[in-house]
Amino acid sequence: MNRILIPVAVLMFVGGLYTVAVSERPWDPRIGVEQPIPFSHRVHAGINKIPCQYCHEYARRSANSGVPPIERCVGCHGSALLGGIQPVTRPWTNDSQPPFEIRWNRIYTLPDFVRFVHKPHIWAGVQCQECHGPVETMDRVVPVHEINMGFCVSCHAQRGATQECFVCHH
Amino acid sequence: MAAAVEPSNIQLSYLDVDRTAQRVMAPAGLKYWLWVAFCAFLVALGGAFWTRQIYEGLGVTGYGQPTLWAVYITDFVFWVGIAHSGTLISAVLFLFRTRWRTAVYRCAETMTIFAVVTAGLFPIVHLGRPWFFYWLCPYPNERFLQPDFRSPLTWDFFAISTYLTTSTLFLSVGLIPDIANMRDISIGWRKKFYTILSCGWQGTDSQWRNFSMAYLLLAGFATPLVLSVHSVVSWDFATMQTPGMHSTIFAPYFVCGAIFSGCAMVLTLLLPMRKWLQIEDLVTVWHLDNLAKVILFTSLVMTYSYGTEAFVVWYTQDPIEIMTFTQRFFGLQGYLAIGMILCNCVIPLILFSPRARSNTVILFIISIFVNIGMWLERFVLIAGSLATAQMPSQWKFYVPKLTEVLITVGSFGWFLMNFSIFTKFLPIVSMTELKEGITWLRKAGRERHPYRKAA
Amino acid sequence: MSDGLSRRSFIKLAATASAAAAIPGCEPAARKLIPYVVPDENLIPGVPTFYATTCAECSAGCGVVARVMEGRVIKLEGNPADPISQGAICARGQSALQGLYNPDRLAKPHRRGGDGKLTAIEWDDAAKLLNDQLAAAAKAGKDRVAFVGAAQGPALDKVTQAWAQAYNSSRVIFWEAFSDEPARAAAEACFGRPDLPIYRLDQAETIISFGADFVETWDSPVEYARQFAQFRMPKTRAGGLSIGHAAYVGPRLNATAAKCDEWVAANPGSEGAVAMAVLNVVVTQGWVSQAAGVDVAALKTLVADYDPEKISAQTGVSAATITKIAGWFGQATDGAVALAGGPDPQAHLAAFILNAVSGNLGKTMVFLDGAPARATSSLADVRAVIDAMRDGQVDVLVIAGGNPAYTMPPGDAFKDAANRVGLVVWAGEVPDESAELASLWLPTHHALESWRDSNPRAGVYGLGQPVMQPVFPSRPLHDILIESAHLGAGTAGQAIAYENAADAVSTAWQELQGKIGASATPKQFWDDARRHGGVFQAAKENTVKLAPAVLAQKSPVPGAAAPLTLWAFPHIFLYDGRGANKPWLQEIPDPITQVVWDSWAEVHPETAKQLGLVKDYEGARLFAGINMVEISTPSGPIELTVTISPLVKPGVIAVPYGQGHTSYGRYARGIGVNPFAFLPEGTRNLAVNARKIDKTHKLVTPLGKSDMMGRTIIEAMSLNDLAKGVEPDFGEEKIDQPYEMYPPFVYAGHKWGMTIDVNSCTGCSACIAACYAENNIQVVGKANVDLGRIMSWIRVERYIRDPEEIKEGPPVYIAPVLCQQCDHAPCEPVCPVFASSHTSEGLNAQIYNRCIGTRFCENNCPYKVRRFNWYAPEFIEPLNFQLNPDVTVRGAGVMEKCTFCIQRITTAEIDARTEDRKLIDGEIIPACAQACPARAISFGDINDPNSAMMKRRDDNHGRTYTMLPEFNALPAVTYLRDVYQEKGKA
Repeated sequence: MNRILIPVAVLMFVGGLYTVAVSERPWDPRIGVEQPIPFSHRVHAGINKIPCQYCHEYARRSANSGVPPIERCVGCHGSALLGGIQPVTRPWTNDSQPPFEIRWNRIYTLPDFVRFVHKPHIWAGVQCQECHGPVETMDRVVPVHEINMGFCVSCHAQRGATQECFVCHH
Repeated sequence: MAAAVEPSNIQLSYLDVDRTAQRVMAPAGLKYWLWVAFCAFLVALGGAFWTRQIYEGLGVTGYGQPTLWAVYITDFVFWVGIAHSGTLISAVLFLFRTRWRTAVYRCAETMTIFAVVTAGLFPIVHLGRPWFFYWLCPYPNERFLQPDFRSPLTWDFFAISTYLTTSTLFLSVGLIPDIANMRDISIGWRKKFYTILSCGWQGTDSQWRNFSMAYLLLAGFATPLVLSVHSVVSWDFATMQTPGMHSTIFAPYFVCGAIFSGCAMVLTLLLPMRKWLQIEDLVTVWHLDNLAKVILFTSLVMTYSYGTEAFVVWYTQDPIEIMTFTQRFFGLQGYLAIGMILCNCVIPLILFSPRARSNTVILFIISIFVNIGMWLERFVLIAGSLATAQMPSQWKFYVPKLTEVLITVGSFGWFLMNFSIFTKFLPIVSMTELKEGITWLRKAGRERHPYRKAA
Repeated sequence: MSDGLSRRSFIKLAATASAAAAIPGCEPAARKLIPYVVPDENLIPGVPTFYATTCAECSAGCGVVARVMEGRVIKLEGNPADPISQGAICARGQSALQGLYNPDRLAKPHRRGGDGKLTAIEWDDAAKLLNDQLAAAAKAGKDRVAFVGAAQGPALDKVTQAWAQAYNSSRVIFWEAFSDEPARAAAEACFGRPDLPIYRLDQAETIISFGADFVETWDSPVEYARQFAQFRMPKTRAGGLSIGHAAYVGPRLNATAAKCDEWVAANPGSEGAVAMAVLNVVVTQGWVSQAAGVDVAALKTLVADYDPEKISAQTGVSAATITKIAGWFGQATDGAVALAGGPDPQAHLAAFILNAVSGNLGKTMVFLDGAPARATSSLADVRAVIDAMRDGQVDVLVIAGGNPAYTMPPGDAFKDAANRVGLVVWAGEVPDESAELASLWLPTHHALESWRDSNPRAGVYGLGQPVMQPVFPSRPLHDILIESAHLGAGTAGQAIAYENAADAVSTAWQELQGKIGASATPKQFWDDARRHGGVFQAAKENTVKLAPAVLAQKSPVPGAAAPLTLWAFPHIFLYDGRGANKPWLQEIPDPITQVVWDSWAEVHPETAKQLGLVKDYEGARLFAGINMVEISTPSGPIELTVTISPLVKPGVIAVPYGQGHTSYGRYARGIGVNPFAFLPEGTRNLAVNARKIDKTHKLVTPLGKSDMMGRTIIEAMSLNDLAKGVEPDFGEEKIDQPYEMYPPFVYAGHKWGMTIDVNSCTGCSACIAACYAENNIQVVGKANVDLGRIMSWIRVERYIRDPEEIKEGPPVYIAPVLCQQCDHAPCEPVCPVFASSHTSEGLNAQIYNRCIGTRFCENNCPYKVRRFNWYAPEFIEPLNFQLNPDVTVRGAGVMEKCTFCIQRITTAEIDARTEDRKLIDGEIIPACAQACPARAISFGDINDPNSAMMKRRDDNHGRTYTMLPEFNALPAVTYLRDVYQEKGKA
């Protein structure tokens, strides 16, 4: 009997390892993604207590919260830089790197086929931290929660928000 | 009754049975492997086209509005139907203590298993996103999502899986004594193989008692499935509002059709096998004759069902139903419906003649026709009805493309390959029950022989 | 605005995030987020911005609003402030986007070498080449430079003129294939005015159209469709309920005729004669209004030869019919109007005279003060320039729009002439037949990328502004011209004061402000104009009298009709061929023949029999015809597939314009034939002989059977029944006590529903185009339509009956069919995975990412309105720029369907919630309802009895019905029956 069972066990073990190796979540490295410039949310949101929506200004008005424009950085960090900022104008077809653009690495990506809108959540008084975790304590942002349907639905269930598929999936 | 249907195998001794069985399962020759290779080639062909279909999307088929179901679902129903007669012969006839089943039931039951396995593939082939087929089964997930139990397709999922499990159990349990028999006379890896499968069968009285009890119980379990499974399948269509399908007669009508086509398929398989494996004296003309009678009877019932269907359509006086029904026979693809009537209602009538029933060639040809006829019936019901549904502006008749054809062919290859392999490695005729039969006949003696009058 | 434009280009960078989130189906999510450097304060990523501009697809000049998201215009909508479109827009207008994002657009200037090969060159080289040649030509003598192009609005056309002047030439042709020159000539003759009147169909009791397909392509279809819908509304006249009388005179029953009470099947080209015959009856019956003050005697002599009896042989119209429609016209107490279309001058003359003598001048046909000068050049000028080119008097020819090589009759004369020109320059977007003649190609901006103005009529000054950054590194045509004048034309060129086209337009608007004397400051005036898409004023009506002279000039009576006549008509979507490179317009079926991606020869069964053809395919397969005929024309034989329909006059072969392109991009090339290529100038019909050839070519259509077979799909009821409140009996039994298996849904909040007025619907298919644009619906192409895989969520159902056989009711039934959003939705319980589920607001939701593609739902849907993705959708760059980020792009293997534009519903609901208020009725408008020119579709909350939609149901409760009621699906869509005039009651 063992002659059959052992190979089977080995196969299952290898299969399991493979699954772990190829799957993205939740085995992602828990150290934050490195960004092009050493920006610290802890310093900004934590120590200096800058409200999230001061920089992510579109959150309460739109679907996406928006990445702060360079102008916003310059606003505090002194206008000396301002001279260095040239407006980026490039036609669609020209792929050359425009001057002065920061290519931030994305932390949070939504699954396919779902439409998430920040606006109603902000207006419903949902704290940013409830989904994004205590960002104000992080230097590099680390995704605390895996943003998947279970996460959304359980919160919606708790708060008695709508649980209709069509609201997010259309 | 003519002498042809005399049960000639009463002369058999136990040894003959064993010998024949062993001969059948003797290591195969080149011919056999060529045959298996051919089937495997068909499977590969179908598989290749299925892969392409998954990769490029269902667009590679001939599907389109409004016939969104066609060949694949037809194949599904067809194969499920094939499966049924197996259970009927092995379980129902067992409960009715029908003697002639002993020689053919193993073959039929094997057919059931592989037919269900084949059938189970088609709903997946048919899906737009087959990689999500498992969403049909309820399992705990973080999304709190479950299948909708109102949907006939969900019922289908359970019906088919239940059917597969029960049939497999039934077959494997029935195999135990025979396998034990083979274990004792075989060597090498086969011995190990049989040792595992025979579950330590020693043939003690207690084992025999438990065995027959278990067998009886499983037969009891299997029997209702004969009716339920195909009824559920029929509800896929009967619950639809589509004219031409929305009819309460479907459940009995499908079950009967299933048995009809199944018995035909048993014949189709048995006749060549009987010849090539030289088991004529195990599976005699007498058995074939009885199968033929079942086919004849079910064919008559089918004819009646067709009649009823037509009557109901007329009786409703629903113009849409009537139009769809007329289109079925006199529309662009009317020839399919006509062919169906020919194959299912007219040609089987030949079986009224005893000579035909005892002539293997005629039987074989008829069985082929019945298979074709029953496939056509499902196609006409599904693709035909959908083609001429409520919105005239959306009418369109469906014409299959190479992909569907080859995947269907592949399914036959798949079925035959499995079946052929089975015949070589497991006893395709039940020695145990044959021997029982023999003892019964011996006891009975000539004077109490069931066919005495005939003789 | 203009500086805002330059900044908006950042958004495209920042947009990657939301764009990727919106298009997960076809591309991996972007991993980089690129912020603005300086944000545009009036712009929020993820929230659309609306820019008012002017539609440039036809000369109607509707005002449109461009919906811009992340710097890309994703949808065009009618401009509610615009008096012409009033918030509606036609299919062609919608498809302007596919002209903008057309993958075949020219990206760089090209030059044709000696070997005829094209090589890409830089703008500077191109400009230099152009200017040098122009300068040389100008030096060589007068009028050696010619410009042939489409009119682009007064301001820019002035620039073109100035440019030509600078190069010492006056040869400027503004070419329009279906120009209104015949009408203008007639207006000149009748009223001594260069301008055209406007019509008020809604104020008429009788409309007689002599070949004017006013709900399809004639003049201003959006406006006239709206007016016609109001005209058809049952209203009380003289105590009784009336829908007035409408008659269409023409050889083919088109969408316009389908909505008229009477289709007067006249021989091709005899519309004028019929008009005169009608005039004859009006005069002889003494229905001439005294107020008109015309010399009746002169009239009598004018129409003497047109006695209905005598003329009927030539026109093919029975005297009885003529008398009948003349009676409608002459006895109309509530105003009548005659419209004329087509090139036949007599028709226009007669129509004007009819309106004049029946005293409808200033009522239904109005001349306005300060009407714009003619935009297009007269045929004489065109001929002059072509002759000059042929005689080698032109060194440089600039072709900019209008595609003269394709549209100029007869096709080859222009080509020959152009080949004798030293340098032919083509400036445009998608290289077309005219570009084939040119040796220098200049890519120009699309109308939506450039500044322009329009002045379709007195008091309506539309302003066209760029709504996004250019998709390709092209340049505005008039920037090129101005620059060329400045650089190449020396002092003469310097005289042009504008820096560029934008400058020219803004200057023109300063002048305009002076002209109309607006009080605002120039800046304010300019800003308001850009905000509202122009300046719209009520123009003073002018009282004109019929010039007596016109009654003297008699036109010869037409000869007898040829046994077989080819008659070409403008395609409702492709028009004169300009639409052929837009996939939407190719894939939306023609409302009458339902043919897609093709041009056809439409013949009557009798004619077909003579040609040895039989109709053997009705309802069988998805095609409209397969057997081909060879038709002899002056410029060689053409081969066309015949579609046999009773909706065309016997002895006529009706062929649409628009196809038969040899160039003009991948979507247009190599389809069908181009009637311009063989029809003589100034006419649309041609005596031909045809024979059946044993070639076959499938005419593909998504339509199965054209026979409704008595099912409750599209219904019509007679005016009497409506007046009496009689429920017409349609045979099917009524369900008094429907059996409910599940408890009925309870809708605490809203329950969305729709009311569709079949009486108003003209089948113009604007709703379909709008749906394509709004919901990212893929275009599947001819082969897949043939397999029944057209993806549009809303379709225009068309059922026909033989006009000769029917006693009562219309010969053609047309209505839009979309998801009925049933309460007892048959699609819902059959889905094994809840992909098709019911929402708390009464919608049948289709959850794409839950769908596994069993296709059970569509099988069980009685209305067959669901669509399955057989392949993964393909949006060729840059067509994908048009995708709506609020709507998922569906992947292969999932079912999709109409959502009542759920994205608009949720957006509005979120807004309402965040602003802590209730939803306002009319706040949510689905794309189809928004586009509908006839206002046939209205959307609203069923739970709110005061919503406009519910009110519409109540006001017309006598006409309400639901489709296929016997299935008891309880649709949320309620239709209002078509209303027809009893045949007996004339």
